[in-house]
Amino acid sequence: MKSTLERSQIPLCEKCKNLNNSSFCILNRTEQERLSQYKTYNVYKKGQVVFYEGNQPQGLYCIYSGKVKIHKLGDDGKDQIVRLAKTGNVIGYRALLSADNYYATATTLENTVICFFPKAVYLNLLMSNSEFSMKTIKMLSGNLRIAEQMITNMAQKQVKERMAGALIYLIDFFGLEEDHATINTVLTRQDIGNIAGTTTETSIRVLSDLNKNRIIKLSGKKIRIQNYNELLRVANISA
Amino acid sequence: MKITNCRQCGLKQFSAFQDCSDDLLNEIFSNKELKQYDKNEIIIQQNDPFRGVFCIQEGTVKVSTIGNKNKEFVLWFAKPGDIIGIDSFINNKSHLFAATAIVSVSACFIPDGDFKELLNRDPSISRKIIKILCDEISSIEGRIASVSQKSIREQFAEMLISIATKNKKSLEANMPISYSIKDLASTIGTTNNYLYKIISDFNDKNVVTILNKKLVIKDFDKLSLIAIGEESVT
Repeated sequence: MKSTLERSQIPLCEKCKNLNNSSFCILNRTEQERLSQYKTYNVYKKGQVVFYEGNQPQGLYCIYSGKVKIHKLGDDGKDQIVRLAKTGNVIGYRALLSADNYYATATTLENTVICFFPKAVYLNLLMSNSEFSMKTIKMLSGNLRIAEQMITNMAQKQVKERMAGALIYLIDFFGLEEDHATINTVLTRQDIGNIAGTTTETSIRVLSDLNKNRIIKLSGKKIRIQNYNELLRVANISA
Repeated sequence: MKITNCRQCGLKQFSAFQDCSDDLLNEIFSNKELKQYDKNEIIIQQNDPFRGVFCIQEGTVKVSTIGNKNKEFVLWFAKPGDIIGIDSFINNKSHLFAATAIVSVSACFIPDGDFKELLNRDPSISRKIIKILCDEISSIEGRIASVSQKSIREQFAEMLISIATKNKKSLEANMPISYSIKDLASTIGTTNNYLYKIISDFNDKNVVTILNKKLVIKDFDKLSLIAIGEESVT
């Protein structure tokens, strides 16, 4: 796998195409060069674990390309996705910031390339650049909003509403493909169920109901949105 | 008279302002107001514009959001030393939650501009805010996993433990928990009736008792076992 992607193909941080979408855009040139200097990268296959819940963080991961799910495994093997991450996002920063172990596991959803920065480099930047720490605070409070929304839905909504909500979350987060209808990600029925907090069986059943009612169109693992307004209505989200 | 000087505030060491110098706090927070709220009085309405943060001195504040079908969902309970409104400050938006006093509450109100000035003058505070936000996210994401993975009964045991251990002033296990059934039910999205059943069952098993309308945890170990689903059937 590694041979297909040579080191030369991963640009320096200051030249990275994702720079403007990441929190590193606020850094000055010298700081970005410093990041490049310490950066390593890794190529992950689909389904590979980036870090495990409970392990000690050694550094920060920044997704160069691909998609990752952040999930917590329950005692009885039930899995719950708490967040998704895409190109340009950083993952594993919260454990670093609070000097804690990883609170969840990160697993790739497709073939993914991830850059890695040692802990000290990241924390030094945070200490020395107040704009960067403000940006980090903003990112955290955005994550808090999403988490608060998610827990409220999980505790109050019916499974069908949550499944439709999960699809809307996927549309918002990953966007649509060029046809302006197909969700730009391939997830298993199980993963979608794990976002909505339900079993694989229920996930399959609700998706096929939505398919039958022509709200979505399932073709393989791809999901095409046929009637977005109706999906919003099922999710009980006011447009 | 109540304490209105940050230097004399016994809660400083438990709050985000822990590492700030007393002189700086007193200088910047010279406009702060000590406000009193009665039980059930609303401190912040959902969608109110952001005007400043509240630093809780005394009492407990329920921080909740209006969820599905206008049902209330309790996000967390703020205790003395906690600050309400930090994330509204950061996003510079209106409050996306409501804050209600569930007992008599006194809180220092710190206007928007003063809080901003502290952030500019003392960068150490941003590390603290990062820590606070991280803890809040972790606790909420933990609850997201619990909702999908645990029974209501297990979630309620978990909630009681987190309320009891979150008390910053003391860590006494048998601190009475004085929340209404409705509020407790709204933290895990269940009905009052179902929660009554669980509480009376916990009462029968001597895990909690009810004293003057307050819950007291009797058996922490048993409660912890219930929370992780390892309760023995006997």
